[in-house]
Amino acid sequence: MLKAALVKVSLKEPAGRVAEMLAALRSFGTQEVYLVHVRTSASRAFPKKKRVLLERLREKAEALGLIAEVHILHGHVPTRILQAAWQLDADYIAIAWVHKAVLRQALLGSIDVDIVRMSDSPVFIFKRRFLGRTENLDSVLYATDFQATDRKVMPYLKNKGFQARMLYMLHVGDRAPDPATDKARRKEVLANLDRLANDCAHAYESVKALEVMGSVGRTIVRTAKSTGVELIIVGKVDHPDLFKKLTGSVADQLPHRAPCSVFIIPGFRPDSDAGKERA
Amino acid sequence: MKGLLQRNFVFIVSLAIVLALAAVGAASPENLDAWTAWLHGAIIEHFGWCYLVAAFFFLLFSLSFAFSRYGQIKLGHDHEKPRFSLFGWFSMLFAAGMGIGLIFWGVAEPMSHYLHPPPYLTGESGEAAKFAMRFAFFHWGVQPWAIYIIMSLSIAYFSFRRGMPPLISSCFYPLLGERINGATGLFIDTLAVFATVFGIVTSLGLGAIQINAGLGSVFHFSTGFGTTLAIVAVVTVLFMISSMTGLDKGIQILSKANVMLAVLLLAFMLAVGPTTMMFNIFTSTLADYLSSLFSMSLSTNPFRGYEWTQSWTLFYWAWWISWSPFVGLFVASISRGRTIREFVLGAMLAPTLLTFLWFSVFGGAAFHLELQQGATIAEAVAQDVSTGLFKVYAHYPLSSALTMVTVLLLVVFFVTSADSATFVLAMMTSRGVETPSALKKLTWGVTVSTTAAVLLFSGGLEALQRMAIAAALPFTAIMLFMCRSLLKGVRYEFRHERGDTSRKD
Repeated sequence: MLKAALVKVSLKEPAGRVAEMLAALRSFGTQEVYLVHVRTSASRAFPKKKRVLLERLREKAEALGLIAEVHILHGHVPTRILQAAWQLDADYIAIAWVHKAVLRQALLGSIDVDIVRMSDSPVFIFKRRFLGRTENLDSVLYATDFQATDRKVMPYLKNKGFQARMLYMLHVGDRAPDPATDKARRKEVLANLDRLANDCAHAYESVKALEVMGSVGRTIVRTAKSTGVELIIVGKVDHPDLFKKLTGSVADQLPHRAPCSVFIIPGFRPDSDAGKERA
Repeated sequence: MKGLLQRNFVFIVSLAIVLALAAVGAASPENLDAWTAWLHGAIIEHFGWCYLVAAFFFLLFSLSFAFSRYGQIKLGHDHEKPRFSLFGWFSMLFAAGMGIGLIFWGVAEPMSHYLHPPPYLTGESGEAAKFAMRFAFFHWGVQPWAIYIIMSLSIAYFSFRRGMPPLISSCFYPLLGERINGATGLFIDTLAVFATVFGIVTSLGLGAIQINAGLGSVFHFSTGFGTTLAIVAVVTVLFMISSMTGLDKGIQILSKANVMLAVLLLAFMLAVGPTTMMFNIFTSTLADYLSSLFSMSLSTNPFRGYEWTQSWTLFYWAWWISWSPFVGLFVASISRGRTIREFVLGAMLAPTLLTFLWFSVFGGAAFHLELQQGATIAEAVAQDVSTGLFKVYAHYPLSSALTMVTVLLLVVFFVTSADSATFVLAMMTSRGVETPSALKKLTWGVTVSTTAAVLLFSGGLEALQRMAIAAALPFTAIMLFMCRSLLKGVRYEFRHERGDTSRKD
């Protein structure tokens, strides 16, 4: 399921960050990586130094037991990365997150955020080493809204690649307008969380359901901090409303704010999914 | 004992604050006057712009709410029908929201603006007359109703549709959860009681003064504290009787009678007065009002005329906001069974139309006398605001009868306002019980009347009015959060209870 990863390499990442990420990718059961660098300069010549760096990365990947290929492309970075993921049939895209200052982010934007926003494939944002572990993750947090994204995300959670010792199943909801409805809502939420927890209980030592109220993005980050998880998994809806288009969806904002790595899995797309079903 | 204290916390605390402030106003009116003048001045000076922005926001919010998909939500259960007929509902709306003030200011406000416009206009000019009518429309137009609508819509939604007690604190459940039963909720409810009591005391005092002036002009007696006190006593007895008969009978009958009387008075003035001029004033001022609504709504005149804006527009906005807990609760309690769209459009347009007609007819009559017959209505208003309308009547046939009808109208509007205020106060201090005890209604009725009488005697009435207006500042913030809470509430209903799947994260 997550066997082949397209790894975006800008060559501006801090030393060793991509290598750390490659080690982490094995935790998902990944066996094959495509190291893709997209050039934006108009110059035809590709600096030898950069080629050497890419080769070194390939060697490191192979040393970790991964099958690795280097691809050097040219053009608009997000578009070319997404095209490459499709052409190479990569199961997901992996990005070693480089933090940008607020002002820089506001003025120049972020290629990585654009990839997250535009991608139809799952995107893994690597923010921190998994505490030196080379095998399974210790704890993972899945933020569910019980909507169409569950259909896409649950197969990943049940997948052996995602195996971790502990899974936190989090639902962030709105308080109902009155106490009686709110009581019923909480009961329903807990029942739904239990159902999802039972579905993937076999893959984890422990699954814990968490029901919290508040702003979705902020609450996910707060819960990730308080539980000390190593990875947040969220679904992404592809048709945000106007407000979300202006401010960015939760999935767009999480890479900036999350204290740990984030796995973003695109959700239900009415057109494409209907097309697939017809096909 | 502890349970009794908890149940009556808002009642005890607010009654204690009211009595303490009334005692200070009676014992040392100068100190209360100086202190409240400073507080009121500081708030209007530094936060006046907030009132303008907030009132405009409330207008946009309520209109967009009415025309959105949320407009179809019923303020009650889905198959519930409105409890009051359209005429009964509209009459009570008008009586509680505007009634008495409109009689007081129908002539006085256009004349005051005409005589003393902002410094960029020349007083007693054609431009000043146009300005006077436009701003009279503005101050009594859609914004005050938008303020009331936000409050009453929230209360009605959370109480009648969501089954919570009709309290202002109930509107914050989506934001505060169970904390509405704690200190935050108690603070909001106590502040609402506080603003309502001081508002109604001030209104009772000023209304008594105007009734006194009207009676004095008919029966030619010198008006003094004794007659004002007698008027307060009579009004108190009347509104207590009305209050004891309940909402269905007392207030509704009085309100209907009053609106009919007001329309009769309006029709008489329209027929006997300069009809064409009145219609011309109505038409051109309506055009002026609509075309400049945006600029008037957000203009504080910071370069020239800021003081005028402070003493009129900002004062009005603060006054409407401070009145909103009372009017909001009352209007909510009579609007059960109506849809949000019907409620917003009905409450915003029907009373506003009658108000505009009222200003056009009575303001037009005053302008006709002032500009074409050489009468000195504006000067008379400058000397005593409460006599403006009676000075106009003096130039009309059946002036004594008109004055008596107006005094009757004042008394009945008064009784209606005081009756509904007593009902609302008793409800707010009984944790939202829809049929509060007679003892609580009696306690608030007597407290309001006694405070008004004491402050009329000591001269602390204006100070108390400033206290009520000071409460508008926290209430502006409370109402903005209320909009957020209401939106969360209806969104939840659409997403989770009506199967709306358009949520996007």
